[in-house]
Amino acid sequence: MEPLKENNSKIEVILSYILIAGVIVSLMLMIAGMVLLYLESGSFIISRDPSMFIKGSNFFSFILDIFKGNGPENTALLLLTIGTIILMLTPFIRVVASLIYFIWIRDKKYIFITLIVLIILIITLSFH
Amino acid sequence: MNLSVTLLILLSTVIGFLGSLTGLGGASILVPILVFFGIPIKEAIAAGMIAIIGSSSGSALSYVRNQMANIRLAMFLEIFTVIGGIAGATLTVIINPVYLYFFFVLFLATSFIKIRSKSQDIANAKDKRDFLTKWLACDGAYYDKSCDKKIEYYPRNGLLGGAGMFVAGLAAGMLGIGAGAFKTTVQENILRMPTKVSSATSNFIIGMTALGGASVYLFSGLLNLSLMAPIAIGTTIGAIFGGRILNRIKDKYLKILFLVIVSALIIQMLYKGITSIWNL
Repeated sequence: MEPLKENNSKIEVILSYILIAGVIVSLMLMIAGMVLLYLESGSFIISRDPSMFIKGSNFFSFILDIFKGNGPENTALLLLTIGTIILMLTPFIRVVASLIYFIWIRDKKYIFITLIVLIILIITLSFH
Repeated sequence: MNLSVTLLILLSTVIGFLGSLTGLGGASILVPILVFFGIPIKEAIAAGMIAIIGSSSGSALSYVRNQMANIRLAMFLEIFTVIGGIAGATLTVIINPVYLYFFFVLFLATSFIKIRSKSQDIANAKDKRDFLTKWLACDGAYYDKSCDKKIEYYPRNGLLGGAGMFVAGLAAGMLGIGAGAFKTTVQENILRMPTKVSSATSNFIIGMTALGGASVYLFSGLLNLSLMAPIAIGTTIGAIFGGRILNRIKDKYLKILFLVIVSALIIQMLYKGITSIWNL
């Protein structure tokens, strides 16, 4: 029988800090984006302009596009888009880190289970 | 009706706060309110789905404090909730929005039903595990401060629990909410996890389910950046404060607050649903 799973806790604490950092960075980018958006438009109204809607085909190529500088040309929209991506990456990173952990302790059952979750996520993020 | 960014951030903060107080979660209150302000329901749902990731990942903060979540069981249950979340979000993208009002009302109504957890028979629970939960080796233990001892628990009914979590994921993905109350109900009553472990574990699962749903919404052309950002900012901040104050408020007031909020939301969504049928 396994008691409190000490190692499990340790890696999860580190991971928790990564998640919190991710959320903070993402929210900061969003706040900056919103402020810029206000300075540009001078209005506080929620916009339903077509430029506000994210469009693309695949999460990973979308990220690559932004790295290559093919993201939104408007800085405010770019900040908001990157903020969204970082926010979406936080749970994704958690799965990847859990997989690494289960490989590290050679827990075959949970390597298998974590791989299933990861593959499902990668498939949906890729095909749209 | 025009909705301003400042008002939306303020509203989201209050709602994130109320949501974590009542256990209803921020998005299930926020989506009907966005609809009230004239935001199309599908866009409100997509924005809610992304915002949930923020409050869920942010709740990792409480994990650092108490370390109660069962990480292994969470990973197993995520298989079901993520598939449910993706299926639900896909449904929302393709169906007529009129149905969504009524699904939302249905979901809000279920939150009135409080299933009282049977007193947990911890003794001999080890023998009651089924083949699947034995194989999963997801037994856990935590230190309970209130009675100052280490409590061991042995989850069971793995498959039925998985099915329940699929339904929770489906509702979450479809309505852009966390469905946290539904998830903890499944965990406590089917999987027989202790209450404190259930709510900690469900916080982890909510984020992953939301990612499944959000990955569908991200490129469906429903995600409005200027709508999503204020909500994400507000609900995350509100949820952090709500979680801190939770233990200091009397149960009676919470129940009245809960009743008033849910009833108002149900009436409003019913009204919207019926008027949009009228206008078809």
